[in-house]
This record gives sequence, structure tokens and C-alpha cells, in this order.
Amino acid sequence: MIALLRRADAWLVAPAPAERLGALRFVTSLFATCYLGVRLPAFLALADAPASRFEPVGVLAWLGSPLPAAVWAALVVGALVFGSASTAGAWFRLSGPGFAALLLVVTTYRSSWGQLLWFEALLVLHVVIVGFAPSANGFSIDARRAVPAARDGGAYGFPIRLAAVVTVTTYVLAGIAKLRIGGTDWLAGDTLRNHIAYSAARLDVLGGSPSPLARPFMEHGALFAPMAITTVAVELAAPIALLGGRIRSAWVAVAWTMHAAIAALMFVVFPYPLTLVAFAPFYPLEQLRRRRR
Amino acid sequence: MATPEAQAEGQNPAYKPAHRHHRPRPGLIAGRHERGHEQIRVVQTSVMVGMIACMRWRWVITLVVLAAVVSPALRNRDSVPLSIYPMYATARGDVAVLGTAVGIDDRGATRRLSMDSIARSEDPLIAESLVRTAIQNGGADALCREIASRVGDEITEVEVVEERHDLERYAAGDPSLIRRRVHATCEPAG
Repeated sequence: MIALLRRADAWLVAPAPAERLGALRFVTSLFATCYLGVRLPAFLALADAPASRFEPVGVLAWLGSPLPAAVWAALVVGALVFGSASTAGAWFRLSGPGFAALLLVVTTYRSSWGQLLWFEALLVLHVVIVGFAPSANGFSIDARRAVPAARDGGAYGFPIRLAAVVTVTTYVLAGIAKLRIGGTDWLAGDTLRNHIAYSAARLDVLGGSPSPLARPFMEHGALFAPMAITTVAVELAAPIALLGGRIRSAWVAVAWTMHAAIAALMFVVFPYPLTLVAFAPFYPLEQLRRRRR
Repeated sequence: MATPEAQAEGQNPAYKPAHRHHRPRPGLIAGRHERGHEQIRVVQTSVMVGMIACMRWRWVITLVVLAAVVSPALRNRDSVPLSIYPMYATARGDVAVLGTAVGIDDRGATRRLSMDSIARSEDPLIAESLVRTAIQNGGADALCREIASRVGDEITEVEVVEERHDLERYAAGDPSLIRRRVHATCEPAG
């Protein structure tokens, strides 16, 4: 037991170069900023939404009424500005925590209108971890301006490990939720087939176009039980990604395939894992940059 | 003229003038040397204590973050960004109840409205949730008027409806609508 704890301790505080954490800051902040930019009209449209629909959640649960339109617009624009600075690693002592706080508030506010948007949760958690860590001591404008104060490698390795632990935990929670809410019936496959049919029918009644793959796929009933079992197994087995090496890459490949299948069959896109940014804490990102050189 | 040491240094790369400046000397200088070693030891110990404290703090942070991430599952209370991640977790039967809005044109035909008209969003999750919540909370009339303000001239009437669909029949490509219940009806302004 003690040996296991020692190994866990060595893993958690394993040193990493400042560039690795800097690269993680870059990809997570870039993704979050682009996400806010692409979804800007949807975010800004909340300023005109009827107050009767407002159901504050999370850190904004205390809000009694929707924010004034000007305040909301300022928060969204502020998040974009801070996100850009965080991506570049500029004035990071301010822009890192600032962006983390603004992204948390903006995404929480958006989820306060009757529908929780779960796919934003892991992104926010990663940005918060990176934002409150010394993530601009490498691969940043701040590091070019002045040589950062020397730190032990664990100061850079720890936030990356923490982000990796949070990633696998969210997958395990998703697996547990399926078994707890859907029961073991979920593994029989009918529920999964009905979810695919439901997503397609929902798009139909909302004037959209369902995936052309959905109906042909639903005709193969025998596929759904193995798919359901694989889905839950992949989610519950997420911690094996922390072992690194080929096991990690195999798990990432299967998890990515799962998200790609959801996108192809249901037209429901989880952009954070699909772009692989959600899995970035598992990899020494600075080596990609060196290889490109 | 180079010193013998400098000459030896230049000729032999392995030459290391060890103890050139740290050779133990008797008396006062030796005492200073010992005090120096002691200071180094104190600094080393302080650094180690600092590192252990840091490591402990990192474990504390890890456990606090993990507890926070796991807490919604323990309390069975969903939120953001701390969630139970219930995507597709509900047991879904063969019948789907879907909230939406439809338009009636001047020939009396029912037309599907776009998600942008219904919810000013391209996300079906948000659009359907918006209609469902409005129906549940008694806001169907208000939503109907809101949607009516966004539809085109060809629409003469808007209905906020709840549709029941047979998913087995839908999967087979057959007509799947079991029932359509109208919760609100309104006309576009102007």
C-alpha cells in the first residue's frame, strides 16, 4: 500500500518542462477562446431572452434575475479578450485567473436558461487548473519578455497531472451515471438505439436534418448491445490512460472513436474531445513542437 | 606567462583544480569553512522541507479538486461545471415525447420551423429543452408569440406543440407520429 502511495506521489509530482504546461495553456485557452468566438451570437442572444426562463445554476445560483444586457455583453467580450491574452501567455498573472473566472461565469450563465451544457464542463475545469498555475513560464509572450523565476519541475508537472486526473474522472462519472440512471438495462443496447432514434427524430421535428447514417445503422439491432457495453467499459476504464504509453493512446483512440460515432450517428458534437484537446494533458505536447522544428 | 596550473588545465581536459579554493586550512579559516557547510546543510534542509510541504499541498489540492468533481455524483445533484455527466444515461423507451413549434401556412398545411426561428439557436438540445420547459412552466403562449415574431410571411399561424413519436417505427422509416398536442396557438404580428 505504501509502495503504491509512493508511486502515486512520484507520478503526481513528476517534473515537467515549463514548455509542456505552456503548450497545455495554449491549446486549452485557444480552444476555449475559439469556442466563445464561434458561439458568440448564441451567447449574446441571451441578453434578449425572457427573464421567466432564467434558472440560475452553479456559481450563479445566487442571482435573483438575469444580468443587465450591457453587463452580459461586457462579460462575454471580456472573456474573449482575456482568452486571447491567456492563449498568447501575455500578462498571465492577470489573464490566466481572469480568463478562468470569466469562462466559468459565462458558461454557467449560458447553462442557466433551462439546459445544462455538460460538454463545456471539462473545458472549464481545464482552463481553471491551467489559469491558476504558472502556465506562462514557457511557450508564452511573458517568458520572452522576462526570464521567469526558476521553479522545480513539479510546479509545471503537477497541474498537467491534475488536469489528466480530472479528465479521466469525468469519464468515469459518465459511465457510473449510465449504470445508476439507466440501470444494467442500458447495457442491453435498446436504450442506445432509442437515443440514436430520439436524436434523429428530435432534429426532424425541429426542422433540422438528421444524420443520413442513423436510419441504416438502426436496422442492425445486433450492434447496439456490444456498442453499449463498449461505451460504458471505455468510460469506466478511463483511469488506464494515466498509465501512459500505448495503453493511454489506445484508450484515447477508442474514446475519440466513441465521440466520432456520436457525431456521425446523432449529429451531436462534443468538440472538446473530438479536437483531441480534452486529451492533451496525457501527452508531452512540447515534443510535438520540437518535432515540427 | 601562464601559471603551471593554467598550463596543465589547457593540456589536460580532465584536469580539475579541486580544492583550489576550498582546501581546509587551520585556525580561523577552517572555522569559517565549517560554518559554511552548516549553512549549506540548513539551506538544503529548508529546501527539502519546502519541497515536502509543496508535495503535501499538491496532494491537498488534488484531493480537494477530486472531491469537488466527484461531489455531484455523491449528492446526486447535477450542475455546471461540476456535473454527474448524465448524457444519454436515461433509460429511453420506444416512445419519444418532443416539444417543438410548427407553422401553419395559408393553405392550412403544417410546416416545420427552423431551430433558429424556435429558439434562436442551432443546437437541438437547447431548442427542444426551451420548448419543453415553456410547456411545463406554463410559458407556451409567451414562447408562441416570441416564435411568431421570427417566422416568415408564408406562415399564418404558429403552434407550440408536443409530439409523441414511435421510435421503432421511426427507425424503420415508417410514419412515427402517434399524437400531436397543441399547447399554444398564435398569429404572427402584422
